[in-house]
Amino acid sequence: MPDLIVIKSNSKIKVLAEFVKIFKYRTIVRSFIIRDIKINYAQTKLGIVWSFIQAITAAIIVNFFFGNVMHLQIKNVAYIVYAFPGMMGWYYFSYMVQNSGTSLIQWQHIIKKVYFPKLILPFYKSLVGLVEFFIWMILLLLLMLYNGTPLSVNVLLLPVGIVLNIITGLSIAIWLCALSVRYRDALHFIPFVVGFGILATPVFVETSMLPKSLSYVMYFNPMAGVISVYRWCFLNIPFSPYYLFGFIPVILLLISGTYYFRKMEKYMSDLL
Amino acid sequence: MERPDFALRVSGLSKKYTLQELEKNESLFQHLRGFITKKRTHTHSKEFYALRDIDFTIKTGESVGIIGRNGAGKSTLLKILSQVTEPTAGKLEINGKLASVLEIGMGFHPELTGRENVFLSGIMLGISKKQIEKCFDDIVKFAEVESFIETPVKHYSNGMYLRLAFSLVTHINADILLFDEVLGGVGDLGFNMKIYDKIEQLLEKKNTMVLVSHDLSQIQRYCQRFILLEDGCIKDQGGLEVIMHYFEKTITDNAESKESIENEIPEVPVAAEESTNEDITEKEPENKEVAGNEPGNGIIAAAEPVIDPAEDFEQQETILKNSDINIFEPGKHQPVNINYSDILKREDSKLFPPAVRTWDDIEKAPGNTHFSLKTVRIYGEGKDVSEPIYVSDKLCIEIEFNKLSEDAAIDLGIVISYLNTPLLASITSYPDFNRVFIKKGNYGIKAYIKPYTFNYGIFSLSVSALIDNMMTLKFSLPFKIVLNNQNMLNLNYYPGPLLSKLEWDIESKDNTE
Repeated sequence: MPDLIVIKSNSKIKVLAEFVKIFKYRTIVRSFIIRDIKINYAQTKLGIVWSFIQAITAAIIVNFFFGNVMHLQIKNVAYIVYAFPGMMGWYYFSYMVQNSGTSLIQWQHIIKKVYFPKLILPFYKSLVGLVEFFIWMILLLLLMLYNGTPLSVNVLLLPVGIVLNIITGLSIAIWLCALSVRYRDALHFIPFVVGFGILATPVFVETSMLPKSLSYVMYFNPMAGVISVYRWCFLNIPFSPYYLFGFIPVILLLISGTYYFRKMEKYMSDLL
Repeated sequence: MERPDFALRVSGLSKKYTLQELEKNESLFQHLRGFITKKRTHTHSKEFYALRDIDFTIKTGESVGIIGRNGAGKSTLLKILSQVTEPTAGKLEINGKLASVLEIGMGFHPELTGRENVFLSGIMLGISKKQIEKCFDDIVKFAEVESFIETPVKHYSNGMYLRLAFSLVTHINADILLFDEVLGGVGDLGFNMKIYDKIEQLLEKKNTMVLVSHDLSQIQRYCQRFILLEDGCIKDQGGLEVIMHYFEKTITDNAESKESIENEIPEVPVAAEESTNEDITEKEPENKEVAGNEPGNGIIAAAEPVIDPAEDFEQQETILKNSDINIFEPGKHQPVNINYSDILKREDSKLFPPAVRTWDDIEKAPGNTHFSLKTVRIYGEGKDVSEPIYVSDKLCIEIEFNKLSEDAAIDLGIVISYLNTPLLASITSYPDFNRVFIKKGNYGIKAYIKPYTFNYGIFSLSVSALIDNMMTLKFSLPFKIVLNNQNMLNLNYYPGPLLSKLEWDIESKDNTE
């Protein structure tokens, strides 16, 4: 028999308890993930091949523009091998931001009828994104193999990078998701985050190519940190520990976002 | 930890909506501008309490009906109980696994197939995949959607949607079940029968249930206790008398509004404008034949006079064609094994206010300058008023009144209402509408209605008087008719307010030329 559930209107919001709740409802998270994967891959003719096509196309275009046209050169590694971990991390980040924002609308039929902690929505979307992430990773490994780049043993710490990537994505996604309940405009904000964010992050360029003053700013861009960690993992390119500063705003955003999300959760079924 | 003995407990529950919020989503820009200039944009936003300070406890195994007019807060309350929305103030305790069917259907994702939705919803309700697999076939079979189970539910009709939702919720062994308008909700007679049977079974299994319905005659059968909501507050709670009072008030209000708005008859759909009062008089002779001419029996005149039968039939036809109604086919819906004697016991045990109304004060009694009512009584012939009235009883209606003036002729009549039908029958006290001149003084009238005229259910009686003009007196006396042993069989299968004992002839047509 399940526990006695007590709902009080004035109960305090505990951020940690919200994440514990997600764990409690993990079976729902799992079936949401399975459902999404089914819709994304099983119901299209080419299925998972589409993801490969996307990743390969991105690699070809970036290699052509930055490598062949602009002649960007990186020490010791082929340009595309250097750029690809960045693209991979950024793609995963943008997937989370884009899909979480609309996940409330996607699941509104269920939100209006059955209870579940809504924080599950942005969270499960971030896990669904892992499928694409691994596809990109496979492509990266193939590119490294093709270019004869050795795989660093640091790759064993890749999960740390992924976790950092997820919490960075979630910190933005949870805020957008909560804001979109009352202000649909928040969804229009997503293209800005994704479109301009990539320019403020050293995805295609080396930080050393940037002016000194800008590289200090980079330290506070968490995605710059995530990307550097990926490059360190795969290619053993060292990174400045100052990048860890970038995760201070992430943690703050994550806590405040969860708090605000929980506050908005009360109105979700009324406002959707 | 010791488990409390209640299933649901609610204290000080309120739900506030800000109308502005509901109207449109304020844009972020407007909000920021308002924030900066310190002028809040939604100064004209109105607050509105859908629920205000609700307190009640539902014991484990109890089934409770929530009644009230549209907009009284019934659905909001159910939404809060099922945790879909959160209360603005107050506390809610849920003890046990809770499942609900809210406003036609439950949380189905339109893109997913019926099968996927069953599993998903099951998981959302906290049931393991294995358990669902075990009863999956039963769920689908009960819902009668076998051939559509692999179709995305966005292609389902409302009826299929509700069937699947109801079937799922009742098969998963939840401790507490919430139903919003599943009784007679979608107009599929055949499935409604199954719903009734299923609810009977759940009652036997001592499931805790909360039902919201406008169908008072159904809800009164399945619930032991009732909560009447009005404007978001609990107006009344208790046994069957709550339904009685509510019903009485609805009928009275209805009569009053009918009086104030002439020629507009409420709750009668379509074609209302075309027929006038003249139609009624034209139809009367036909109706007299139906009622039979046994002395003492009233004449049933012009029940529901406003709908042109031909048009009504056409309308019904189109409704049938346009929806996936399973027309009730005998034999298709096999009665579930139900212990009717239990139902009987339950029915009898329900608190039952006797159908008597007495007015001591002439000033307050219904009437006019010519006469006033003293007592109205309804009972089964040869029985006391406090005893239940059975379908097989000859219904006895006693009216005592005071004739106050000498000269006017008086003609009293009886008006019977039934649930959503504000006027089921008008019955006159004397045949052929003869006015009777009687002297001043006290009089008593007894009118009898043949056994098996009305079906089981809650009816209401009012008195009409024809003195200078026709008036229906502003009171209504609810009474309940119950089924007794002889006719308990198939009680679910013959709904409707009337139950005439007809003559049936069956002859073979096979070898006739």
